Amino acid sequence: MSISKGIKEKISALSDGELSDFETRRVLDEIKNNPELREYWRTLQVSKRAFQNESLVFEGSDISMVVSRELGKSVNSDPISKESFFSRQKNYIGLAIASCLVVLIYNSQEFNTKPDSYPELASKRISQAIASPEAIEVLQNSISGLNAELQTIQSDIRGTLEANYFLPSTGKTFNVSLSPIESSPDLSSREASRIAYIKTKEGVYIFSVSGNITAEKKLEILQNANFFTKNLRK
Amino acid sequence: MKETKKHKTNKEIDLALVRRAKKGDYRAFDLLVLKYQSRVISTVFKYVKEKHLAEDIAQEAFIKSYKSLDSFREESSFYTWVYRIAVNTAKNYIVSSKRREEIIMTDFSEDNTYYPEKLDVDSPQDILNASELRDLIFETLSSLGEETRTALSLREFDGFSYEQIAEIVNCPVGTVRSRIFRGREMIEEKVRKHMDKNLINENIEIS
Repeated sequence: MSISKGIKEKISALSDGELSDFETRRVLDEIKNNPELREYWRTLQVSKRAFQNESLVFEGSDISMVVSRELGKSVNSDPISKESFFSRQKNYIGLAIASCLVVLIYNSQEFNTKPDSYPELASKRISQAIASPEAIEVLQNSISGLNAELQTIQSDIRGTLEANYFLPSTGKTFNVSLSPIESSPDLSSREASRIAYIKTKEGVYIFSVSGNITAEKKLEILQNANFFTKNLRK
Repeated sequence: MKETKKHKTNKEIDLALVRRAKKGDYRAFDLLVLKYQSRVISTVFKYVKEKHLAEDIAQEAFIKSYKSLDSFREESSFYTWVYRIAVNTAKNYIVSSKRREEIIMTDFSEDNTYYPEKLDVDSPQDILNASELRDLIFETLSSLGEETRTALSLREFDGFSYEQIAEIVNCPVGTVRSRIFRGREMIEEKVRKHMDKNLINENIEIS
């Protein structure tokens, strides 16, 4: 998308406090409708900090989206969906079945492109999802005491089990995942992840928590997970 | 005789956005978050010494500041105000977490030979990236044409207003604005490429 140089010039002037209130309002409207302009503002601030001889070590961190989501505001992003995929429940068998369904639905497109391998892959993934009920138990127990609602749960072929939760009391959402160390989860797209390595007699696991909850809650979840992972079997 | 507009402080520069945010315009507050987030994270990091924790606490600080924006009386700058909130949030966190055990080093096995490194700490790579980024910005500034470089330098290093710069270099204010923008365009392009490249490298390392 080509961005009007005129608008960018106004953003540049806004960063210097050289824009009238009327123009500021117009620029804000433009930024709202164009994520590239928002990014331009952010990059512009990086160079300003460099000129002021300030530290640039944390330029890779962007917490603005989380802040806006927590405040229930939209900034070039989709609003948070508060709709529960599942109603609140604690039945692990139910979760295992649900996870199989999610895995099947999630991967159906891929299976469709490889018709020959469908039965084999489907069978393999179902067995992976239900072969480790302890893993599901660890995930569920890690959030005990938080009154969180499970939204989705899924596993992948590398043995990662992942669940998304919603906290009705605060409207916050978060994600927990458990993976064998040999299949480290992709955390690059997740916000503010906290990770614990947990070693058991059967192997080393990575447990991660990410999302819109406080650092204290994340730590509490990791501590719970640590406690229950003792029961894991590979 | 016409009086030239004086230097603008950061407080004055932010004021338009702060006032709009106070009226409920979240877009203005979002720009302030984008402007100050790395500074706030950097401040909190000095207290908690862990990058992701610093990010979490900085988030809380911005959320608290937005919720209590009505109480901000504009006597200090917006940043000073957020800074105080962030430092207090960090201190409260430290007090409440002092007795906690660091879970990342916990090992349940009988064999205690395995001690994995923490993943979520600030790394030498971050420091190297920051240094490269700073060099890149200054190199690009040096490579700009003289008029562009002068206008941008007078603005960024000396803090002159557009009107003052126009007087110094003897040209219309509109020309100053264009020159500053042109210089920033060149720098922005380089910065964006650098940040995109580092993002790709980070993703490769993680996966």
